[in-house]
Amino acid sequence: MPQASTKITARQVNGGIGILDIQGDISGFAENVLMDAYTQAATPATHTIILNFTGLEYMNSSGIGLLVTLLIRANRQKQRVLAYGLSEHYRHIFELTRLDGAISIYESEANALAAATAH
Amino acid sequence: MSAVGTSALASAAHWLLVCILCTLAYWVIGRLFFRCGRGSRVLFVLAAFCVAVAGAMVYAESHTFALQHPLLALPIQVVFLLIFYIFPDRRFTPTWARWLAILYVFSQLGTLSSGKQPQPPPQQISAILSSVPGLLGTLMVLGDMLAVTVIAVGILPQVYGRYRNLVAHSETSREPNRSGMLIGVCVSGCLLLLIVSALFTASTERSSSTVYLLARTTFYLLATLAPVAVAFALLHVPRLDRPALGRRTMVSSLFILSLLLIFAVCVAVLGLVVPGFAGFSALGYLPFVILIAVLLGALFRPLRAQIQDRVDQYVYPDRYRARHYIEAFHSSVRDGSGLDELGNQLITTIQKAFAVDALVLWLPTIPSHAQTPDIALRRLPGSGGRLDASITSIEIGAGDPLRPWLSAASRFLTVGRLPLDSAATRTLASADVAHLLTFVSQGVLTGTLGMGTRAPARPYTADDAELLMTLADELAPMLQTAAVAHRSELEARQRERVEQELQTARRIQESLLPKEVPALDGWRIATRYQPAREVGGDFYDFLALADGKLGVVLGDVTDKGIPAALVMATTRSMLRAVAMQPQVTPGQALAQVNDLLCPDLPSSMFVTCFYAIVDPATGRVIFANAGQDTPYLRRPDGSVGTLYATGMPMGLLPESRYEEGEATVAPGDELLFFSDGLVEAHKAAREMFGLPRLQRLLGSQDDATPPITMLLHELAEFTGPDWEQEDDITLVSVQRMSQPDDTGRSEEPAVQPDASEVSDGGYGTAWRTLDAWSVASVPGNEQQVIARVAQVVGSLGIAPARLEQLKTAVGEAAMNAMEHGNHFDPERLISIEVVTSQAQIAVRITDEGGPGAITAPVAPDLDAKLAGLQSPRGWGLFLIEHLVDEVHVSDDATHRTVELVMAIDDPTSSVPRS
Repeated sequence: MPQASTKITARQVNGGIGILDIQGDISGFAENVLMDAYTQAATPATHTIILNFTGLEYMNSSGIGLLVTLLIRANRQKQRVLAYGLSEHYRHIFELTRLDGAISIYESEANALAAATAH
Repeated sequence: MSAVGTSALASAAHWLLVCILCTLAYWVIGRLFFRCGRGSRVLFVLAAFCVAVAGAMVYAESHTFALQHPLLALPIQVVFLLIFYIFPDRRFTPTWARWLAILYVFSQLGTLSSGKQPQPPPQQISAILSSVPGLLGTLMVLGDMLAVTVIAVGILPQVYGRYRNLVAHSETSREPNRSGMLIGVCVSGCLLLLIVSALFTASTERSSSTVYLLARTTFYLLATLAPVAVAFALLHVPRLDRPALGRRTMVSSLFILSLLLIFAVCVAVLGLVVPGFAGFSALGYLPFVILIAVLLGALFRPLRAQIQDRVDQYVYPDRYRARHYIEAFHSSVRDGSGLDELGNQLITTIQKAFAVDALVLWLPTIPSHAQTPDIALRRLPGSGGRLDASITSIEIGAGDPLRPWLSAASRFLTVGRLPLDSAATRTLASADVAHLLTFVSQGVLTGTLGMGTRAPARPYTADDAELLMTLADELAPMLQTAAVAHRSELEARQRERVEQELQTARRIQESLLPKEVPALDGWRIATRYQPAREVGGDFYDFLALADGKLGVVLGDVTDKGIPAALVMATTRSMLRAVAMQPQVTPGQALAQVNDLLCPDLPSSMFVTCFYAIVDPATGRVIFANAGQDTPYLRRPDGSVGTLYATGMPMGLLPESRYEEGEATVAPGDELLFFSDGLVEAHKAAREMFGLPRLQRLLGSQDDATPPITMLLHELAEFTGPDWEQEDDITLVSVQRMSQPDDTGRSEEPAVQPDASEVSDGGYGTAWRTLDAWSVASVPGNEQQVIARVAQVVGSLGIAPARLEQLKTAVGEAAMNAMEHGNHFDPERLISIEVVTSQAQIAVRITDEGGPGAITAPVAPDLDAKLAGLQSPRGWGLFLIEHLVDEVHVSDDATHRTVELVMAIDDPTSSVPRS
């Protein structure tokens, strides 16, 4: 059985910002990896979670479900979720699902960080 | 004076006697408790309560006694310390409680050494308060009471930890009974308060003898329970083990002696440095005592460890070596080591630690849970030593009396002393296995170490056993993890090997099938090759012969997998080489190939084959047959004949001759070549599809549906949804058109890669199949589907963005089919067909779910999902509908097909495709 190859590293920037660097697939298989990375990234001081989709290879509806779950968790912690590095196709999918309303999309990490710190 | 002395001696003797009797009584009680009540929560809570309360009371009484008889109290204090520490049980005496105990004892000693002896005290605590003059007495008593309470309370968490451990190893539920513990703690606390207040009351109202009597009785009742802690400690040693007791006594004596020495030196130094220390006021003296006690407390652990180490090193070198080897093993072993690696490390360590070479490690062959009645153990390869030649596996049945001994907790068992008679123990004893060390994690036996006797007949002491059991407790979960990893690795490797072999065979086979069907004016040729799960040996071939004739070959190799694929490849090459020679007739070709195959083919293998040469201009067909089902020739009037010829399958008998036949295919006629996978398909009731059915279906076929589509549909109807295709199905249809213009094909510029069938598909426009295959319903396989669709569609010039959309939609549809249609049953396949017309591309994904709506109950709404009103999932269909141009769903009794249609040109784009 093919296993999803998903690697997500969490890093902290400027204290209150957690960045999840996603490498590989966001599908149903990525659940544990994503949630673990989120737990790692989210400290009590975290106010913003930034998803780095530069390394995203494949995302399906289960993956979108995971993002919604992550969004719910982040909302509960009063954290904002931002994203950057999305390909045109997945931007389109974010628009279709209206996820782009809940997860603001930026061109680059610098833009996302600027938006996160400006807030 | 002598009267006082006699009374003091009598009092001390009385006290010591009580202590000794209680110790004995509790040893018996504890023994019973452990034997009968292992895991009984009620008994455990009761015992915990007794330990806590009684421990406190003994302290209180000892204090009273110390004040009465300071000089006699000294040895008793020492005895008390010994009792507390000779059999240290860390579960009951936390480090900080020991510090407090030391503080207490040394404050008593301090009182003595300061020369300020208290007044002859009365019997009770409150009376002490009133009789000891000044602040010192008050502070001392209050401090002592505080220490008593703190120690009592400090013991409880330890008892609780022990309790958890006990429950975890004995009960199915691993959650401790917190409420039971809480009740125990509350009751003991209340009783403690009650007794203390009763003692106070009794002392102030001496005349009220009933209350006093009650308080004294309760006190003695509880004080009698005091040595339960000692009993627990004693029970730690499974039997009266003189070497172990001797060693502990030696360590503890040296330890206490060292403490006393340090204390004495401190006092002496203080006496020299601080002038008039001995004559200090009570308040000035206290900080020094506390300081010294804290110093001793800090020294407590390292000092004890040092003394133990030295004693072991010089007096018990065996144990010293064993402990060091095992400690080194603990620190080096990692969770995640391989099973064999872990096992070998363990054996090496124990060999070195206990100087024993006869060791054998058995590991469970199947995961044996506490519920599984039988235990089957296999020997770790390479382990054994002197025991090597004996037993390689042990079976311990459900009824074997040894069975319960192997799942409760990690144990060190002496085979000869087990109070049972079992087949397994007899086997073990006959193989010189003297001891068993069991590794049990959460009630599951994860390994058993068989140990022979040590070379000089030196028994394992209780300390050795304890060391081994500690090791077993720590290692058991690791062995379990490693075993699980080991098993899944083996399974994965096996699966991978089989899968690889299948894939290789399939690749060989598919690479040899024609990439395209020949285009002949006035003829329509279609093929369908549907491999079985396990690759069979079907093949077909088209040979472009001289003078424009077409050779059609359809064959089948017996056997499956790689051997079949290799024979097929050989046969195909031989046939090509032979048939291409000028003027070779079909019969001659088969005969030559037969002669070539015979010497090389194993006797169990042969090849059936039908070879026909079609002259497209005249419709004349010459054919020969090597044991293959004869093709059908269907006339437009519905009559069905066969191209009949006989001959032995190739590879069986050298110099076989093959009869040739001849027929004419008139305009409107159609030839159908087929492999036995079609006619021998049978349903559950063993009814075969059969030749008569095939013939009847061909006869009643309407002209609108291509025969291959019709036959496959009929086959699906016949076999039902749960059919697993056992053999390849190959169909080749060669149809001579009634009018040369209606081929629908002669106009097409070129044949698309992998195009294998032309059908109208029932969708009005002419759809051409680009690719068709099936995959197992395993999560993750949708990515394979996506990749293959992308590869097939890639050459059609669809815009990249739209291709991405199609890919995502295909992935979702494939997931839906696998999940909702086939319920992720790996045995059930989803089939994918990629077809194209001039303007559109369609991907048809069929599952075995049968009829039913695929629409989601509610449209997904992000806000509702974020508010928790909808599940976060459920986006699949939404995406499909929004990403492709059209979605069609069709179903029959056993299948459901979702067709995703997308225009090759972007309809929203104004730029036409070049």
